[in-house]
Amino acid sequence: MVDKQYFDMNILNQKMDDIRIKIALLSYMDMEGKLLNEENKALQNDNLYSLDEITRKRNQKKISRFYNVSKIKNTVHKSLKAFNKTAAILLFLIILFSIPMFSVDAIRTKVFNLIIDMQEEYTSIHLDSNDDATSNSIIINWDDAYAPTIIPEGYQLNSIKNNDLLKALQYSDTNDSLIIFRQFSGGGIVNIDTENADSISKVMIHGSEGILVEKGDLITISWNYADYIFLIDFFKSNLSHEEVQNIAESVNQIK
Amino acid sequence: MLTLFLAIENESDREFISKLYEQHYSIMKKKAYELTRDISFTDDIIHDAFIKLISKIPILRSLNCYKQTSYIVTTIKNTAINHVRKRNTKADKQFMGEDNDIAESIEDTAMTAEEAYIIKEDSEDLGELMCKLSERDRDLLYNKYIFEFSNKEISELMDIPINNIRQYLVRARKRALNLLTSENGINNSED
Repeated sequence: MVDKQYFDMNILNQKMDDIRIKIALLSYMDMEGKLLNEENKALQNDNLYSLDEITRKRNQKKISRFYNVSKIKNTVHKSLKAFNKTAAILLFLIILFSIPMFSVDAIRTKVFNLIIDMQEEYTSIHLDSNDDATSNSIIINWDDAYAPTIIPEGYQLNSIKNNDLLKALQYSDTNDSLIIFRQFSGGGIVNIDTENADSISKVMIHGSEGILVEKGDLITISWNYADYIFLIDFFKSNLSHEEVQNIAESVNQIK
Repeated sequence: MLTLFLAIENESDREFISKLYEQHYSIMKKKAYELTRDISFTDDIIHDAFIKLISKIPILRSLNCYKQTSYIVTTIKNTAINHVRKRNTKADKQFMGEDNDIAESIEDTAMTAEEAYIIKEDSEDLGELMCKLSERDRDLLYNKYIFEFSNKEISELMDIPINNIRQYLVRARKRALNLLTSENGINNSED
């Protein structure tokens, strides 16, 4: 792309005028400097303006100090400038990689964040609140209870548990197969044994991400919904992952 | 370590700036005194000016001894003007407006001294033509073209309202160009 300014006569004339003025000023500097130097020479014999030895030493130290300070400032300034560039690039990269993460609906919209912490021997699941005071004061109300609406044939509810943090329903059949449904409120932490698990997979339940773990006779599915963590253990159930997921999908609020 | 590195790296710069200080001390003190009329402030003004000059070492190195002197003395003048303005502000004296600003009143004093020796000397035509400009115009152009100050910096330094600075510069530039182009200007300078 050719810069049109190169061919603009007005601009070129202006630049030429600027150069002429600058040349004239440089000539003026020569002339002025010559006269000032002569005046300076004459003044060196004037006690009022001459530099005595004590003042010279003292002021030279000051100039030297100013020089050091100036150089250090310059160095710091340049370093900071370089650091700012690096910091800006890092910030840009962080923002760039954060956008996809925070644009996920499940994460963006929920007050509580499901944190699935994969550990070496277990997987920790807990609800983390931004406001600890309110999360600790959640009162269990059976009106807020959830339960699976689909239970395989032969299972019967044989145990109910309720406390501040946990609501649990246990189903069993005649073959000692168990289905244990648990609903944890905000402050709870859930650990799933994932050590040497046969399979660990991510699942979507009610639009929220969850985890499905199979280890021997035990299948565990866990997810979060509303302000709760849900966990269902299937022990010796012989159910497929799809059936387990369907049961989890059937969990609804009891009205 | 950093200080040591700087000391080794820039020893010649330190010597250069120290030498300039010693060489020009008398004239710097005189010019600072002419503007402040207070000998007790002159050393402070020289030191302030040198803090600015330290960052201009590459420019100063590129100039011959006459231009160096002019550059240094003009820096002293600018620093002294700033100093006087601050001092007068502290004393609740106001120098507002275009007609009675501090730069103008100070310049009158300095101009008399400079004009006196400028007239005596023969120099290059162009330089002489610049002497025909008012000191205000010359300072405006000097600050713009030699120091390469921004309009805002010139406005603050010369106590000219920022809204008017562009107009002032255009006029000063026009007057300088008239002198440089007109035969009269040249003839007058030769007279």
